Amino acid sequence: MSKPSDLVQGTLDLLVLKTLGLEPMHGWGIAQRIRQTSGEVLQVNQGALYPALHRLEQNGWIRAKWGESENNRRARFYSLTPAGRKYLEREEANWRRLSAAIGLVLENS
Amino acid sequence: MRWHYRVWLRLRTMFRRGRVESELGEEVRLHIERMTEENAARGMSTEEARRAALVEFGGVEQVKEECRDARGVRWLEEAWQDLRFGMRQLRRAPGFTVVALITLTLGIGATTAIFSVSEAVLLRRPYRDAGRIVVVLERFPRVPGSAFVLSPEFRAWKERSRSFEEIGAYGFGSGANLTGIGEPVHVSVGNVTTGFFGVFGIQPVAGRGFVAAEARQGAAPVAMLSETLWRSRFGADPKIVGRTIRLDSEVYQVVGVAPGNVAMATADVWTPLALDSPFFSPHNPAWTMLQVWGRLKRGATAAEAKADLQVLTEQLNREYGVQSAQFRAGVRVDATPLHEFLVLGYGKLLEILLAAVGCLLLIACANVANLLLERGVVRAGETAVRAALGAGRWRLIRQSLAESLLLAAGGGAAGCAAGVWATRFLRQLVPEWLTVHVGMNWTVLWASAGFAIAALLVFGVAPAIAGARPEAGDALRHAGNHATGGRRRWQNWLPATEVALSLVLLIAAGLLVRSFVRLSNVPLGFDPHGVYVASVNRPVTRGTDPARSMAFGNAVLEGIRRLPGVEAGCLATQYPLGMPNNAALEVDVRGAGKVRFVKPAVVASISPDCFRVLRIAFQAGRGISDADAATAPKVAVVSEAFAREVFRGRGAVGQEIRLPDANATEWTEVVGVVADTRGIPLGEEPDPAVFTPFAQQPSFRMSFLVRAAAPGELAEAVRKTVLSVDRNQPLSESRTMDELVARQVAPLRFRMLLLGLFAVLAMTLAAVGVYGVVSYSCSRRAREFGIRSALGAGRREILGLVLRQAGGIAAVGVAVGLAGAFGATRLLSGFLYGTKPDDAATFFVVPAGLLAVALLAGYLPARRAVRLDPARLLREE
Repeated sequence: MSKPSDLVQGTLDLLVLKTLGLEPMHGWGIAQRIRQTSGEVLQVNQGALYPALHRLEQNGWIRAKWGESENNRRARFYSLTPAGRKYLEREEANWRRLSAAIGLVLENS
Repeated sequence: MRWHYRVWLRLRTMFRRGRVESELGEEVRLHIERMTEENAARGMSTEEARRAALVEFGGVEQVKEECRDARGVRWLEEAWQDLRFGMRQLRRAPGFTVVALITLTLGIGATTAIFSVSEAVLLRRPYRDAGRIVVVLERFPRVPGSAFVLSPEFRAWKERSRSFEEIGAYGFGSGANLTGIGEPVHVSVGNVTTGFFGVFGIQPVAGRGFVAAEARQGAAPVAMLSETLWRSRFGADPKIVGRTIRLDSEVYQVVGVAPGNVAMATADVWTPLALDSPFFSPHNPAWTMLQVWGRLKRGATAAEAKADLQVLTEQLNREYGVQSAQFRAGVRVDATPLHEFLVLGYGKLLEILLAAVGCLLLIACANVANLLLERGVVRAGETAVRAALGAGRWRLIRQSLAESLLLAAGGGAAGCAAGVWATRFLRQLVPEWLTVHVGMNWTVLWASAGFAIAALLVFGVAPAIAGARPEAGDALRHAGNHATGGRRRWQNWLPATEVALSLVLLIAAGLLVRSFVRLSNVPLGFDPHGVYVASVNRPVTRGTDPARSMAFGNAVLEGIRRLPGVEAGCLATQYPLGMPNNAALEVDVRGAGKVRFVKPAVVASISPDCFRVLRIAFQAGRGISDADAATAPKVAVVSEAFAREVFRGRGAVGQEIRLPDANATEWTEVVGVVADTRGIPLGEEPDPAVFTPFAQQPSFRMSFLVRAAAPGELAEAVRKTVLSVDRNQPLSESRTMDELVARQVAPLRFRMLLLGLFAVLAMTLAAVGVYGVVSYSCSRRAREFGIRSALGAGRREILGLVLRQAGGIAAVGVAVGLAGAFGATRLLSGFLYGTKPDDAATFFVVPAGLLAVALLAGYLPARRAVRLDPARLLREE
């Protein structure tokens, strides 16, 4: 089954976790935040977001809770678990190493 | 913390599905609401805003589905779904489910239980490392069928053979009276060499086995007790070793207790065989016969041992005198592994048993296959619909796999449980004198369960694989077309095969039943009902004087005659069914020379009343009377067979004969002729018999035969009577004659019940098979029947149509089965009595009965079919 996604799956996971590292947030908010912070470059495919959230929850990296959103609406809030934080740190380091390496290759050849 | 949180999540996803689903729906709905508002804020109309949001989100259901996937329990969930679906399907077809389960239960349970018990009884022996035990025999060309070893050979082998870790012998046992421990009791005594227990790897329960110093002539007498005797007589005394016991007034010191599992030879008390006795010397003309077993050295084979012993025996042969050399000319030594020896002994019975198990299992599998294939056909339409509605092929296969697995689990569990239970039940029927441990044969259980379940899975899934093909559309188009559904050959072949297989078993069982009836009703020549037998062995020290033996016998007889309910009593040294007759007798007839019997003959001394007690008919002359005292002229009564062979048509009464063991030179006058009586084995023609007055030929061994109203209740009174005459005299035997007869027919009865059980089970399964096929085809042809009856066909015609199918199946099955039975029953010929393997009555009655059963199995669904209302049937379609 092909997944309609603009972002590589692992990258989306990383972005979601990083966003949730700041504060607990609902799905809609996560998508908005990624778009804003990336300077409108990264468009999160709404259809891919929720499966990613569920997968992350299943892996125990995030946890979901129903709560009130900023304009008094019901929403499902996701927050990072300690295990998720550790995973995020590891993945972030990996990402930095990888992008630095790619940067070196691009500059020097 | 993390892993159990994940487990909790997964369980929540599985078992709180409703909650999780509604949360997912709510989350997505809220998200789309936000997007719609956002779009509306950008100036779109409400309608437009909503549509744009949906487009951007991309198929709501797909996203939900992906979320479910992401939760990672989807396959589990689906498997769970499949199982529940299978459960529902099975519940919706209770007939199919119940029949399949019963088939599996019977097929697995019955076959394994019956096989386990029989195999254990026949072959299992509880010895350590039994693969190294060999049975050693000498075959003497001059003694056809000999199965023993002569004592000198044994000593030579024991001293010189290099093949054995241990070699031991059992000298045919005897009996003795154990006195001084409570009431006297008759015990069996086994004489064994020092290596005997070691060969079987048997460790004493207490104390030790015999040592070489005790197996010498003149050594202080020692004995080992059997565990049974130790428990029953000595209260399992832990200080038994070193105590003394008295056997026939000789004192033995107990050195140990032997466990009760020495099934190859049993005895209550064991004593050592002295290897330096003259019996073991090659130069002594008198030998004893021994049973010999050896434990091979590690790595040695039975063939090597055999060659080794053969060489030693031939060496020894050169040391013998002329007479023995003649006897031993051409002797061959056999060394056979124990298991092989037992298999050889029971080979045919085992083959029959295995064949029966195979038949039953095949029938069960055929039944299951048949049921599943039928079900597959009936469901082809449903499968096609589901495939058309988008069910994946793999999913469809998995669903039928789930259903088959459910059946396999249920049937397998029920079969195993039935097997274990039936083994326990059958174990009670095993005679207790067989000291074998009867347990479930797990190999056979797993094998038959595996076989049945494999059949179940293969035939359960095959229709789904076929049905789930892309071209299932064809099936869909034809699905409604029940009325003219193509004939499928296997549909009738499978039950026909079942009928054929069960017919073979039924005929075999029928032949055994006929043999059993024949043997049970064979005229015995005497009347065993109402006769009680008690035997005593007078110790030689007290019984050598004939007068004292006589006095003892008469005193006991007097006492017995005074007991309440006793009609008559007598005394005899031998009686019908007592012991096998093995003496080949030579009789000297006055004026006609010597006559040698080919068959064994009975030589018995009896007291006057014996013919009356046993109700043996007189043919001529008189019986034995009180007047035939020790000092009176010698007389004898002979049986018809004796008279026929010895006097060849001349009148027997008045002839004079001399028996070999009557050392007197006096002639004995034949005073009467009585009817023949059968002995052991019961199936053979009566042996010739000659009876002399006990007063003239007293013996230290005697039996009291008592005719009474309730012979089964005499044991205690007779025992007390004997004790009142000699307080140290136990009974060596105490039973009714009916029991003796029953013991003679027991092996045949056992085989009859065994095969009968298989046959009845097989017939039941075959009937179920026929019933299944006919009722399925009835339901498939319901519309056709409706049309036929609408066109004026009566119930009779429709009944005929259905019965023709059942009859066809049964006829083909019976025809094939008959052919098979003609071949297969030859295996049985050695087990039959008075019945030929192709006995016409059996070959007529049994197939007729089976046809009737098969027709009945077809009649039940047929009757249901004609009762259906044709109008309603046609409307339903």
